[in-house]
Amino acid sequence: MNFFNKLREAPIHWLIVSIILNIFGLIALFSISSGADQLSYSSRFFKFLFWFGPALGGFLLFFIIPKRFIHEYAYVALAISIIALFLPYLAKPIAGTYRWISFGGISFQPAEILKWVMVITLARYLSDNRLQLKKFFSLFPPILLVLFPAIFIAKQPDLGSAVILVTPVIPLLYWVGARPLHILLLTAPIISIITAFNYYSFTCWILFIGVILYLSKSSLRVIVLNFFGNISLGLFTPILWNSLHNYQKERILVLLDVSRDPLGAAYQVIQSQTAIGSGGLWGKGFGRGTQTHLKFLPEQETDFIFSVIGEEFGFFMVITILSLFAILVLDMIHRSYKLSERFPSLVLFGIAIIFISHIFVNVGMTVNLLPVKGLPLPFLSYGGTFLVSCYAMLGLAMNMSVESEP
Amino acid sequence: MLKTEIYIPVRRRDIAFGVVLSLFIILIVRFYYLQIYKYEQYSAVAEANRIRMISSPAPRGNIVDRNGKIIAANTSIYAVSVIRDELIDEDVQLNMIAKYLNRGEETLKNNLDKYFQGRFLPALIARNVSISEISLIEEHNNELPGVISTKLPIRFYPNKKIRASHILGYLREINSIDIINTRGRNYSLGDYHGYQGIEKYYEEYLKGVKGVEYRQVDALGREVGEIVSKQPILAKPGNKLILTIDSSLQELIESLLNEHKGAAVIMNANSGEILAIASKPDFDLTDFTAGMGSKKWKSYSMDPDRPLFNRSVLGLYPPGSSMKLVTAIAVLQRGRAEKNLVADCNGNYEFGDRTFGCWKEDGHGRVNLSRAIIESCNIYFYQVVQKLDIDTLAKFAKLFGFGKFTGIDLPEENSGLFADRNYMNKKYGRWGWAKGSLLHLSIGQGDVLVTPLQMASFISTIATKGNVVIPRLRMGIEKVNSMNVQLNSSTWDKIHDMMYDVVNDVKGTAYDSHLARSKIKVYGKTGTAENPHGDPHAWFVGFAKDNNEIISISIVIENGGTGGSTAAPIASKIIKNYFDLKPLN
Repeated sequence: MNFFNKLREAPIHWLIVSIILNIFGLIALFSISSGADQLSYSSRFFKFLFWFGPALGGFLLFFIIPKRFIHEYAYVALAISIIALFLPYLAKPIAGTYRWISFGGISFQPAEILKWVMVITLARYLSDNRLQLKKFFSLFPPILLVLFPAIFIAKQPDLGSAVILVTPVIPLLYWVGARPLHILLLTAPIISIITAFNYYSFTCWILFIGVILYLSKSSLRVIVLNFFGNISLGLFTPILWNSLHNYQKERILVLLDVSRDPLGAAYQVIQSQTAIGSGGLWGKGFGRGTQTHLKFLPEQETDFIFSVIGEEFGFFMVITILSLFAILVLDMIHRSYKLSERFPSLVLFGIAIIFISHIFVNVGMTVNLLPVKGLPLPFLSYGGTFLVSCYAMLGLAMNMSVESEP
Repeated sequence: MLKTEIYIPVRRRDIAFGVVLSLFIILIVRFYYLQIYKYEQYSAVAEANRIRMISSPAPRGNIVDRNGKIIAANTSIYAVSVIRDELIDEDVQLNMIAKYLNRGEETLKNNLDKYFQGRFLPALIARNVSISEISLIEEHNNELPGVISTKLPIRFYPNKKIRASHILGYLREINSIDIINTRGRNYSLGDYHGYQGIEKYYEEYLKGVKGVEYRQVDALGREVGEIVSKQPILAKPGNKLILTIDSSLQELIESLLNEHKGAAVIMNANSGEILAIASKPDFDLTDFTAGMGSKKWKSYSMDPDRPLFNRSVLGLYPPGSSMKLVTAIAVLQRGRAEKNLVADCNGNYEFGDRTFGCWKEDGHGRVNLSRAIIESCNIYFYQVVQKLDIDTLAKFAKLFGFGKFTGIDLPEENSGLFADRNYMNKKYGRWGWAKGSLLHLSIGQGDVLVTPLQMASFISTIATKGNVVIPRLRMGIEKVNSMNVQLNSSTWDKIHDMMYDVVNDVKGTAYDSHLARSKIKVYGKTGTAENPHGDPHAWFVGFAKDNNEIISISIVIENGGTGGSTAAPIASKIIKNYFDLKPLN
C-alpha cells in the first residue's frame, strides 16, 4: 500500500490530538522557562522543541513498517529489548539506578521501548490460532512472559515502568476472549495477599470471591480449591510477613516503593495539590503560577507538568486536556474493536492501555489519588526518549488501525 | 500470517469504554474537588507559601505637658541586623562587624542566637550604633553580604531641664514571658514596651499599631521581590498623650529637690490634676532608651540611695506632725469637751510607766487645739487623744484616704497604713499593745505610713472642704468625684484657720519660711517624722489659694531634719514661683 493511501485511511486526528497535547506541554514548559531571566536555547522549552524532530521520525518509522514485518520479528525485538535491559549494568549507575543507556550524550531507558515491544510480543503470542483461550492454564504463559522482565525492571529500581509493563496483560487477555472468571481467579491470590493486612478489606474480598465462585457454576472442586486457597493465603501472609527479618521486610518495601523517602514524597504531593487547588476554574494565568515559579512545585517539567497546567490554566484546561486524552484512548479502543485481524487489534488495544495507564497514574499522582511513581505524562512531560517513544507508539497504533488489503 | 481473525462482541468494547471512562471521571471529580470545591483553602495555602510578612515598627505617641510642650518624643537609632542564610562565613563576618562596631564578638553572637527567628529573617545583632559606625559597615557592605543596617525608633526626651523619670517610666525590651502574657497584642521579640510609670499605664494608648510589609519568597525562603497586589499596611503611630504636668513647675521642683532625697507632689486640689511630681534621687531616662550596659544598670540598681525607686507614690514615710491634722479633725468633730481641752506642756508627758516628750524640750506652756497645731505641740495631742479611741482615729484617717490607694493613673502605688484595733490585735496580739500606741498615732508616729501622694490628696480634701478627688496625670480624663467627706462646716473653718496660722502666725512652725504672700492665702502644716534610720524626715503639707484656684503641696525630705527648716522653705519657693510666674488673667 502506498504511503499516502495508508495515511488517508489512518485516523489522522490521533496525530492532531497528540500534537495539540504536545503544544500544551510546550506552553507549560515555556511558562516555566520564562520565569528565568532570559529564555536561553539551552532551556528545556527549546530542548523539548528540538526533540519533536526525532519524535516525528519515530512516528513515521513505526507508521510505515509493514505489519507483517512487525508480526514476524516480534520475538526477536523482545529478545533484543531484554538484552538492552542488562546493558546499563555494564556501566556506572546514573542517579543510583540502572535505568539508562547512554551513548553520545543521548540517554534512553530500555524499559521505555520494552513496554510496547512487550505489547507486540503478547499480541503475537495471543494471535496464535492454536491457542485455546477458554482454558484456564493457557493464560499462564503470557503472564509469566511479562512478569520476569517486570520484576527485573522493578529492581533497577523503576517500579513505575514495571507496573506499566504488566498492566496490558490482563486487558489483552480479556480483549482476546479469555473468560472473566479465569482472569479474576488469576488475580485473586495477589488481591488476597494485599487485603490480608486489613481485617475488613480481607473479609469483604473473601465474601466477594465466594459469591462470584458460587454464581460461576464451576465444579465443586474448583470452588472449594479457590475459596479456601485464597483464605489460607490471606491468613498465612501476615504470619509469613511477621516471620521475616527487618532487613528482608525493608527490601520488599523498597521494591514496592513504599518506604522510599515518604517525607519528600508527601511534600511533593502537598505542593502539587496546592498548585492545582489554587488554580481554580480559570487558573492564575500564564507565567503567574506562584507554586510553579517560586519552585514550591517539584519536578514541574517532568512528573508534575500537569500541576503547572492546573495552576496556571485552571479546571477549564484540565477538563480540555483530559477530554483530548479520553478521545484518543477511546477512539483507539473503538478502532481496535472494529479491526478484523487479531494481531493489529491486540497491538492497538495494548497501546491504548499503555496510554491510559500512563495518564491515570501520572495525573492521579498529582492529585494524591495514587502514590508518587515517577511516571511521565504522554506528550506533555519533558523528556526526549519518552516523547520519541510516545510518537512511535502513536505511529504503531495508526499503522495497526489501517486494515490490510485482502 | 495475519490470518487469525478476531471478533469482539460489542459488550466487551462497552466494558472497556466504561472502565476507561470511569478512570477519567474519577480524575475529573478529583480535580473538581480540589479546584472548585476546595479552591479557597488551597488559594490561602498557596498565598501563605509565597508571602512573608515583615512588620515595621510603629513610632510611639509623644508625651506632652499641659501646655503642649514635648516631654517625650521619638528619634531613631541605627541598628545592625543579619540574615543568617545570606552570610557566607558567619564567624568571619561577625568578627568584622565586631571590629567596626567596637563591640565584643561574643555579644553579637549571643544577640544573633537571641533574636534568631528563621534563616531568612533579619536578626538584630547590635542596637544603638553610631552614624560613623554604620557608615563603616556600609562602606564594607560588599564584604558583608547578609548584613543590613536598619533604623529603629526610640524614645527621646527633648527637654533636658526636666527628668520626670519615675512617672514617665522607661521602656524595656519585651521578654518571652511578657509576649505570652500579652498574647494577641502583637508584640514580638525585640520590641520595647512601657515598663514603668505613664509609659506602662498608657501602653496601649501610646504604642501604636505596627505596619506590615509583604515580601514574596520562593520555596527556599529567599526573598524574590515585592508583592504588587498587596499594599503594605503602614505603621500607625501611637496617640499623643497630654499630661497634667506643667513643665516649668516640674523643672522647679526637681531643681529644688536636687540636693535632697525625697519627694514632692503638687496637685490641683479641685480637679486632682498633678501639676508636678518628683522623686529624688532620680535617673536619666535617656540611659534606658537603647538598652543599657550592665555596668550602668548596676550603678543604678546598687545605689544605696535607690534612684530607681519612685518615692512620690511608693515611698512609705511616717507622717509625723502633719498627721496631727487628722487627730485635730477627729477632736473637732467630737464635741465641746474635747474641743475646749487645754493642756499644760512642760516638754514631757508621763503615761503609764513611759515618758512621752514634746519636740520643744522646755515646753509650750498652756496650749489649746489651735496653738497645738500652730506650734505643733505633742503633749496636747497625747492628752486629747485619750478622749478618743483608736478606731475613731482610724475612721477619720481612712476617710481621708490613708491606708488606701489613691487611684492615680500609674501602674504602681502604695496604699500605706493606718492602724486600727483589728490591725493592732493582729500584729501584737489582743493584749500585746496598749494605749501608748494611740498616743503615738495621734502625732503621726508608730503604725502609720503614708506616701507623699496620699498626703497631697489628703490636703486637697481639706482645701476643698471635703472634696475627694482621684489624682491623675493624664489631661482630660473624666473627673471622677468619688465621694465627699462630710464634716461640720465649723470643723473645716477651724482647720483652715489653724493651717493658715501655721504659716502666718509668728509662732507658726512654718512662719520662718516666708510662705505668706500678699494676694494669695497659704495654709500648711509641718511635720518632723522620727524614724529609726537617722535624722527625722521633714514634711511640709499645705495649700495655696488664689480665688478659686487651689494648689496643694506635699513635700517630704528624707532625713531632712525639721519640717519647718527644710521642707517649708522649698514649699515657699514653689508657691512664690508658681503664682508669680503664672500669667496674669
